[in-house]
Amino acid sequence: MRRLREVVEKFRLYSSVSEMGEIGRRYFVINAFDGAMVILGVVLGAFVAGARDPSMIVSAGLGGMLAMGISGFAGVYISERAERIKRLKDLEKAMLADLGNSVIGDATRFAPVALAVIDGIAPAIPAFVAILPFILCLRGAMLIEQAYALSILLTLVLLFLLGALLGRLSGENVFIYGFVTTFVGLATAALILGLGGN
Amino acid sequence: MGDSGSPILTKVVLDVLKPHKPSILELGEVLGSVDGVKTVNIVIREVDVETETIKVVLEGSGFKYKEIRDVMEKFGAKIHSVDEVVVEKR
Repeated sequence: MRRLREVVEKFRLYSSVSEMGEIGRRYFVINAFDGAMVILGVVLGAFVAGARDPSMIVSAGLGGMLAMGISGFAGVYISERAERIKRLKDLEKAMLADLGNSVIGDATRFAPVALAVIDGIAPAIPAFVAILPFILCLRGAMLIEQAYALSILLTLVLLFLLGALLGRLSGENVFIYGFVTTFVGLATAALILGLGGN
Repeated sequence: MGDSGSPILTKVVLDVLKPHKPSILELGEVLGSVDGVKTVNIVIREVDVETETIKVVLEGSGFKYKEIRDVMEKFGAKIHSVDEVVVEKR
C-alpha cells in the first residue's frame, strides 16, 4: 500500500513537472474524436456498400482501431520526446547544470510515454463501442439492421459526450459543445450517405 | 558537561537557483520530510525566464547537509551559497 502511494506520488510529481495534464486531456479528446469519426465512416461506408456480414465490419473496425492506436502512440511519443528533450536542454543551459538525473530528467522521459499511451488508447474506446453491436450481431443477439442503427446511435452519443466533456472543461455550456460535436458527426454521416447514394 | 556533546546542525540558510518546476511547494514538502528537519521556509527572491532564485531556511535538530544537497540535486536545484549556519551541541 505504501509502495503504491509512493508510485502515485511520483506520477503526480512527474505530471506536474512536465505539465502534461492539459496536453494529455487535449490529446485524449482529439484522438477519441478521431476514433469516433473514423469508425462512423467505416460503419456508414459498409452500410452504403450494402455489407450484411457483421464479421467484415468487426474486422475492419478492429483493424482501424489498432492502426489508429499505433499511429497515435508512435506519433505522440516521437514528437513529444523531441519537444521535451529540447526543453530540457534549454533548461540545462539556463541552469548551467546536467538535469538528466533529476526529477526533471525523469519527467522528460516519463511524459512522452504517458501521453503516447493516452493517445493510443483514446481512439480505441469509441471504436470498440461502435463495433460492439456487430459483435453482438455475430453472436446472434441482434439483426444486422439493428446493429447498424445501434452502432451509429452509440457513436453519436459518444460524440455528444466528448463535446460535453470539452464544455465542462471550459466551464461553458455543456449542451452547446455536445450538440456541435454531434452535428459534425451527423453532417459527416449525411455526406457519406449522400455520396454513397450517387 | 553541557558543552561536551557532539555538534549538530540546527539551521541553514541557502541561496538556491532552481527551474520553475517542481514548484517551491513540492520542494518544500520533500525538504520537510528529511530526517531532523522541523521547519522549512522558502522565499522566492528573483524570477527569470527559465529559472528562479530562492532563499531556503531550514531549521530542526541534527539534519545532514548532504541529504539537503541531494534533495536539491534530485529536484534540479543548485545551491549557490550557504549564507548562514547554526550548530548546537547536544
